[in-house]
Amino acid sequence: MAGSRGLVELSAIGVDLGTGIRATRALDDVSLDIVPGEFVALLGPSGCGKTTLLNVIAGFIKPGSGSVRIDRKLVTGPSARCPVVFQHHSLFPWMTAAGNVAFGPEMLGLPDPAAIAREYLGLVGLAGQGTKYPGQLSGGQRQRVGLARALSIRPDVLLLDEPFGALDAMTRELMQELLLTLWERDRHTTVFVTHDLEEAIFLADRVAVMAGQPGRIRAWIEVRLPRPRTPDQRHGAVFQNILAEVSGLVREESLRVFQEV
Amino acid sequence: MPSLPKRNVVLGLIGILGFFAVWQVATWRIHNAVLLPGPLAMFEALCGLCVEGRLWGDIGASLRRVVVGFLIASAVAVPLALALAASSLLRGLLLPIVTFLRPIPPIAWIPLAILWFGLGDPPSFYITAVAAFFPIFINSFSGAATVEADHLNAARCLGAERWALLMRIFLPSALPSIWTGLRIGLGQSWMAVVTAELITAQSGLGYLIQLSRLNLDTDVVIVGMCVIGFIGALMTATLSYVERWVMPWRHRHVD
Repeated sequence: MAGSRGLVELSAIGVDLGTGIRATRALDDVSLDIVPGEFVALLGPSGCGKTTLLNVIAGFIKPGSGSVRIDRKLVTGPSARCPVVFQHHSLFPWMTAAGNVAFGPEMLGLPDPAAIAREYLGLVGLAGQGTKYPGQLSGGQRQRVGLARALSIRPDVLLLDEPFGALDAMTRELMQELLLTLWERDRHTTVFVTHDLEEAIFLADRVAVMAGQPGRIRAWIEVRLPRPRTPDQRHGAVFQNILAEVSGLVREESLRVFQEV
Repeated sequence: MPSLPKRNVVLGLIGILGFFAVWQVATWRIHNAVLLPGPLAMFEALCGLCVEGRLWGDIGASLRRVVVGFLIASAVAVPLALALAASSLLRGLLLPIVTFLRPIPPIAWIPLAILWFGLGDPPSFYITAVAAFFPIFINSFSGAATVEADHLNAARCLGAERWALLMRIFLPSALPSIWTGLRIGLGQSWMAVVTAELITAQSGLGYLIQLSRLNLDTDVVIVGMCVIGFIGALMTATLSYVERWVMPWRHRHVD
């Protein structure tokens, strides 16, 4: 699958949110290309437009100007080619864990959705939890179900909107490692929104450092850490050097916004 | 916490017994069986009606009218509410009409109901349906209108189209509110059937009360009222109890 599908091309995206006096330029002239199988992180302080950018790729928001193409095809609305893993509360509470994961395969008319659900719940380590409702699962388990649900339709592009933001630090690291294991398996193009510097560096091939007001991409940082990534890389010199560089950029940007307000 | 419900049952029984005691003392004081028959007289009348068999027929007639009207109302109100929540065109067209019709009490429909449907069951069906319709519609609509954007977006990017969104996302999102609407609607419908029977019917609990009033059988009037109260409470309790099977996810949480 790697290398063939999942080319994402954004050209000169502009988005205005709100109307009249409260209108803000959420994104201004954002262009980016993501090659098939690449893992990109969108990093920035809150309000920099990173989630808006993800929603534009997902087709939830129609940009005022510019265009989004996935595999050369214009994105005009949400599609099953690029599902989203949300930060929280997005599992359907009226369906069991297995029901949630089987939902996408059912909608797409894939054969035996229940078997697909079992397979993907197994992949995220929740093989025995299929009959539980989201209300019966912990925060980390719910996000694993969310991940399984998005992956079960074998997406070309996987979009994640701060999926681990609400989890405790230890669970978050384990979730990052799980995400990478699953990504190594399928190599779907991945766009990951986060405000956590270390998370962005540990996961991504490239980190887009975003700036706000108006939202734009300020710098691209290449993460030249060998794959598959391992937890001990977090403490290595390469990682720490990149962290220092990104940290400087983000801090500068946060400070600018902080002082303006 | 198994002691809390048990405590409430005991308190409830004490309350009811106290109520009967006050009532009985009041009847001794007033000493007029037409004005206020006592609870003992009422139980006698109740036993009489049960043995005679007449009460069962009246209960059956009232229940049939409520069930038919309630089912008609549910079958119209729930789909209509979902359609309005999902379509801004329908909402714009129909919501003003609903807003305008809603404040008209079911009793005010009785003259038209008699003109249109004559006497007997049909006008009662109409009245019970009107009474149940608005609570069911309003609650279902507000439930479907507050569907979470993340749920809709998640479903759409998993390949759900319009019909699937309606049945698999809007409907279950709205189900808790729909259920509240059904519970209130059934109660309203039950209250309305008595009103309808006071005027248009030849059977039913409302008719029993009306007839007994004319005969000055006040004890039977009170039996009718108590039976209405009891059955109404029983219906509400049943719906609350059934809820755990209709919405199992609302009753299971982290152990």
